[in-house]
Amino acid sequence: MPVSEYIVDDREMPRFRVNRKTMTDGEVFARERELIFNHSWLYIGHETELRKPNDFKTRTVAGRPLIFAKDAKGKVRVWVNSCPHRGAMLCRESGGNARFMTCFYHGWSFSSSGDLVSVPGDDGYGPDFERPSLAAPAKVDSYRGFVFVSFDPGIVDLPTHLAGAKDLLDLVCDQSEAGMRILEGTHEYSVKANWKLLVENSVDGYHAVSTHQRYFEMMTAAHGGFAPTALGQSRGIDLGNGHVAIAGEPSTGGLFGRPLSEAGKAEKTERFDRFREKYGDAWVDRMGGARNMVIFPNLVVIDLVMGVVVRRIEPLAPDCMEVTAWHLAPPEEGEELHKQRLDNFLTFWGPGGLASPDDVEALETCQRSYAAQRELPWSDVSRGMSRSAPTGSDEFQMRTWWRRWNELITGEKLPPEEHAPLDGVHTGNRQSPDHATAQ
Amino acid sequence: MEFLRIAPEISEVASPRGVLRVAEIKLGGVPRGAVVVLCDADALEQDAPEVMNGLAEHGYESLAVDLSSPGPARDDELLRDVAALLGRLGERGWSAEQIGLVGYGFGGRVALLASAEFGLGGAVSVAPTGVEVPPIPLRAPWLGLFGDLDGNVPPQAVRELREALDSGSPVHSETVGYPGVGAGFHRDAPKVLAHAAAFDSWQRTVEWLNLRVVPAAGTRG
Repeated sequence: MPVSEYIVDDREMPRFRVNRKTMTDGEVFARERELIFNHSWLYIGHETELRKPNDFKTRTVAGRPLIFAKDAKGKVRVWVNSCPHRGAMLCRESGGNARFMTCFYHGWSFSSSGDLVSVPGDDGYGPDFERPSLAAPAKVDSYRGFVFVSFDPGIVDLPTHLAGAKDLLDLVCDQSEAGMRILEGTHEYSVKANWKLLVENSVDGYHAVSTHQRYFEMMTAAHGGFAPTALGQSRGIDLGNGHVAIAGEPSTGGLFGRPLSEAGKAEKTERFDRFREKYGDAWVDRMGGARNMVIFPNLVVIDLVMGVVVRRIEPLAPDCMEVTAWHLAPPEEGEELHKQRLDNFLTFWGPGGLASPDDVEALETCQRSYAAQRELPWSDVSRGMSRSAPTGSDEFQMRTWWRRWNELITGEKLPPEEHAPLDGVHTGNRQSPDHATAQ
Repeated sequence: MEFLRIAPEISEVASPRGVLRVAEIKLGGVPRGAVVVLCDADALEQDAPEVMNGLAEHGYESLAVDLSSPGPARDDELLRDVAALLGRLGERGWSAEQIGLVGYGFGGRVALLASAEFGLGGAVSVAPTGVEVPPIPLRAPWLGLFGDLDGNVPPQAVRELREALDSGSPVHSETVGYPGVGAGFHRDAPKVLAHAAAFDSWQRTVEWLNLRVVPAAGTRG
């Protein structure tokens, strides 16, 4: 079996180390593009971003310019944003509504179903000339509104790939009877750091209180006190196929956000009481706990119950990534709860908020310091290896993600860590399979 | 430098309530599509040549009419007039999806009504004189352009229309409000906001059609 030069997984000490070359090396970056991004399911967007037929968004996924669209009949389609004629980008807008897209270079027009509908000077082609349609990724599929593409025609189906992540997505999606929807508007920012640093950071409970001191001070001031001890009781979870999460106890969902009025609290309680009737206590107790999830390789869903951020990380270079974040919300929620969500999206997750800039600064200093990797080649990701039940403040979830990364990049399959099984709070199921609305 | 301008031909189209006097521009070769232009009341001579030549520059044949000229009519009669105009274009080989509809003022209101009636490629209403009962659901993608100072359709009415169309119509629609102008902003004027509204509204009108009217195969672009 090949032995990785990037990971040292010592179960004796125990100690887990990641070589910093993984964050800086152009060859590693090229291997990631080929071995991970060309053979994974990759999130492109949410179905609710496309509200009406012929709506579209342009996105870059694994370096490819794509058009994420609904065709005239309302079917979700994904096209390569390049004219099959000579290559110019068909659509240079970030989004809109168009039944036809006309290449500005030579004027070829394509429908939202991808068909070539007109060619200027069509008589310049012979009668047997095969008119090309738009190119598309090999696979497009969705799970509860989350749309993924894959450039690998032989990839396993999406539900199989998502494995245990499906359960956590269900916990997010079941928070609306009308269907969770992406709110209009996105946060977009770039970070001068390797993309995997943000993957780690997105499931890192350990850094929260130290890095985001200002946010927690604000919470303390707003609530007249703040006891994040419940965060320490959360669990790091292996969801299979490299997907990982930290999931909190039921009380953790109430920790975040500005305080609610009595009416706001009552509405929230009433909403969750309705869920209890529908789904049962075990599922709703679990739903009430905050969760941070990474769907391998680059999709992050953070659900603080009062606010959900969907974050896609696009690697641009070994030391640069682009981040796009959307807010997923239940449309039936009242004004105050909605306002609390929007506030949290700005003050916590926003690129000008009280938390994300801290993370960006931390990650960028990591990247800059990797210039000294000859003197300091290894990062340590060992926390919690010796604990029977790793918490969200441990680094089990990062190690799990790294083992999958390592397997795809080097072929070395490292055995999973053995820990105490998850307890009841993290394993509750919906009371009736009738409610399993997964597609 | 003199640019070529096409003088529209004047002809007649029979409608159930009488004969409609229409201006028509036919193009050679394979045009991009066809457009019915519904002029504002008594504005056929003033507006039609300019609008129709502008459309011809983008490859569209057109028919223009002032539907107020035969006298007062009910909405259903006005829609039968539109059907008759579409029939004329149909005789030239255009299907509904290959036809756009652009209406101004009085004609803008009819264009909105017609968007719910006919499966056209796209429709645009410029300063419609009324939007009192949103015709839901729309069948054709519809763009509404409004002057914020237009007393016929104040911004609040536009917002209400926008919400009604968003939730009640499966097809895409958009509204745009222009600050500092009332109705008739499609005609260029020296004041900066008026000029901006005239320029922008024409750009949006053409783009709306280009993105939605089904192009005839083999157009010259």
